Amino acid sequence: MHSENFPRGFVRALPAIGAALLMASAAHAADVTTYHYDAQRTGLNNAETTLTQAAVGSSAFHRLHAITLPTQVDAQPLIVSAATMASWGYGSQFPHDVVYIADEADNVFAIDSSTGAILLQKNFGTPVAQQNLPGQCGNNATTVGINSTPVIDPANKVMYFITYTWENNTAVYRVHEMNLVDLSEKIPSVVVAAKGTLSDGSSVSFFAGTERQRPALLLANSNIYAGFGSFCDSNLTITRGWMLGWQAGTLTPLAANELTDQQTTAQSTNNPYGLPGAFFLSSVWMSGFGPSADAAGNVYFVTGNSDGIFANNLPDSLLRMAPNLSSVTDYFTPANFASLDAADEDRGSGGVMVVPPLSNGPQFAVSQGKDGRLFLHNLAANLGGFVQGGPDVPSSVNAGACWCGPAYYVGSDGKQRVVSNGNVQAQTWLVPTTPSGTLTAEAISPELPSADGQDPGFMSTVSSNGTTANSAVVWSLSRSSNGLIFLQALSGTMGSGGPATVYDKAGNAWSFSSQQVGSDYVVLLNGAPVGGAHGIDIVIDQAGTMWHMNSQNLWWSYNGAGGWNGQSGEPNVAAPSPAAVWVTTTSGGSIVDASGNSWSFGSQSSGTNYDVVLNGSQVPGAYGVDMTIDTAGNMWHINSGGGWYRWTGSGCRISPPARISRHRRRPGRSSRRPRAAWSQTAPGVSGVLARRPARTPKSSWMRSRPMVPMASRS
Amino acid sequence: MDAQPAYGAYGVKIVIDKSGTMWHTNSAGGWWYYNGNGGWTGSATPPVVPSTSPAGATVTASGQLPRLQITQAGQWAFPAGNANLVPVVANGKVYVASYGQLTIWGLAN
Repeated sequence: MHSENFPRGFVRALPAIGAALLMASAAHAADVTTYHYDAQRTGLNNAETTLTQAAVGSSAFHRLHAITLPTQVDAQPLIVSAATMASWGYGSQFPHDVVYIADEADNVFAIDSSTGAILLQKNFGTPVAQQNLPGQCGNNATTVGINSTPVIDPANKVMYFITYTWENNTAVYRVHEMNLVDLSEKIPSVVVAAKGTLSDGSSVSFFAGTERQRPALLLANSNIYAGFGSFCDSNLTITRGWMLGWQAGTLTPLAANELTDQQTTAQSTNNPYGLPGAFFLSSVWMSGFGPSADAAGNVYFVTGNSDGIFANNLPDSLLRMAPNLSSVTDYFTPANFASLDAADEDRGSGGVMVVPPLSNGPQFAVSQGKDGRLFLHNLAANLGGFVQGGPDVPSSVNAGACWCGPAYYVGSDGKQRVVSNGNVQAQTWLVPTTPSGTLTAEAISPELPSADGQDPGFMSTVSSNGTTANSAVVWSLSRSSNGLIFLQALSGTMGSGGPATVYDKAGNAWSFSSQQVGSDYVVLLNGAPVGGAHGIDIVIDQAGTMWHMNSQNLWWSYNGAGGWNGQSGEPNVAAPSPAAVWVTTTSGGSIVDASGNSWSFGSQSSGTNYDVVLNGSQVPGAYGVDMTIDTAGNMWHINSGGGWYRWTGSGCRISPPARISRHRRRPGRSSRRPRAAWSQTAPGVSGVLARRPARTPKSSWMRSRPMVPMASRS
Repeated sequence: MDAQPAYGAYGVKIVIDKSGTMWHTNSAGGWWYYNGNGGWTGSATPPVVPSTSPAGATVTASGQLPRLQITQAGQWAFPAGNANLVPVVANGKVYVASYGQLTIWGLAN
């Protein structure tokens, strides 16, 4: 495998990968240059020394910044570390890690990870509006711009990405090669165009107007690869799956490409939608997961549903392509692909991950789709082809319906683990040590409390400090039905990463007994069973109340008197924002108080003031320009007149107005604090804040403004 | 669940102290802790009890992946569209990009 397949600076813990395959780095700072961190798509950063299980599980773990962006971001953020920037000679310009974000309006941003400041931004064209998408496809933002995750080539200090733009009333895809240090185009962008060969030898042209470029880009073999599929399975008689490639550096298209459905005539069998007419598809989309590559540079991806016909078609299949895309060197199509097609249960909703092989160990890949089967593919043998009537050659386990992709890590016991992300729970599976072995279920997560807002499944990554004990953390993101994104961190150590006991607000100690009731364990209150309770999870909510969840994912909260409030929703575990985190009308974002309330600004309502919004609803009569959380977890806001207000639970309590006014309107000072001074971390800012107590009589001021620790301001 | 009177003790509250010892207090405010041998020792001072665990603190049973944190980290404006978002961890920080927002997470100083 070429060195660009590995993120610079990631120090793999697996000796079998081979030192020759790794990119040497004196610094141990991690760059994230591609989707799921590497070309194998393991999702593993095993050079993380700070975010251990203990640290992540502590109250010190907080939101540091919320940066407002103009629209939806589907692409994974990419990171170039300060150490890498310094090694390029840009240390003074980029003293901190830089985050690269690509959005659905065809914007690219470079953001300082330490300050949250947007350092650079550039627009790369007019995105395609939803009304101009095939069938006005609605499973995206109101515009589609950069829909896939870009890829960074650190050796050439560039980032590759593909824009979707509306040009002369036509949708166009362009491949870009952008300089990382100034967001300029290194060479002119290249319009995506291709011709595919059909089964009768005729050709069909790639048509950007019907294709969605959803899978992340892959950089391998000094080529850029991109997959294409449909928008909402629309324009069925035109849309097919494509895998295209370009030479890195020149963006010269590869001479060959893969057209997944090479039928000459659209067929009308097994149309899952009951629609008249015929269709192609076998799309390449994978819920945004990127095609992967193995150590030899072979390219892997999974296709989606089609018309139930196998001849000249590879639906629901895992494909292995030669690096130059000249041929499909192997494939696996499940025996029941036709029924999958008929039910729109395509396997292309999930990605394929190449499992890093241990020394002299078997070589595997795993893939999973909508029907939940997690297949284990032996890469050293044939992938399995298609066995009419079955059984399928690769083994599989049920890991839950999957619009998702797997992740991977090695525990302190040296055992390889695959993390599946089906339905609403992450699971770990032990990777077999022999080629004929199968995946073995190890552990399962609590249900993501709000993963019910979309199709099943989610994405996870893993951080660890090599194979150091208690360092592996599994990170997941899910979306709730009310439009909130939740970040979950799991211990990668089964059953020992969390506390053995937690305490509620009454001082009661809660734990599990070793005694089981079915799949559950008996709940102990101060060491004794209570109310017949049993479950798999005990959680303390933001009000200090104990909840437990059983293996059927049902929740109960303790009523304080030996009984339970049954199935009464889920615990609110939103931790308050750290003191001194600010939301301004220009920064946007939200903060959470000690009661779990989420606060933000709404519309401009009174002069320069904006409505104060509590949990999505405007608070009558409350408006301001800034808001923050004090050390006690109270929410405060200040209006343009300099008046401070604290939320009391049912209304806003104003601080003594005369005293505030006297301070806020001192001669020579603005009637409200300078916005820039609060949004920047220049040394003068902290100086202004630190001097205030000394220059102001020790009186009402310190009592009438929120208490915020100075250290956290910088 | 068995519920048997224990060694003549009665009171209004039972707590576990930091060392795991059980204490009870009666309506008059007196404190006793269990001596581990069927008896009680009176105390002029109340037990030192742990503070309430932070929101989200979790105990996970065997065979489970313990949850360390769960928190709101972003938003999504279009319910018809899946959010196939990937959390990114690098150099002590976690990055979450969503609708109109990038949030950065890490350890407070």
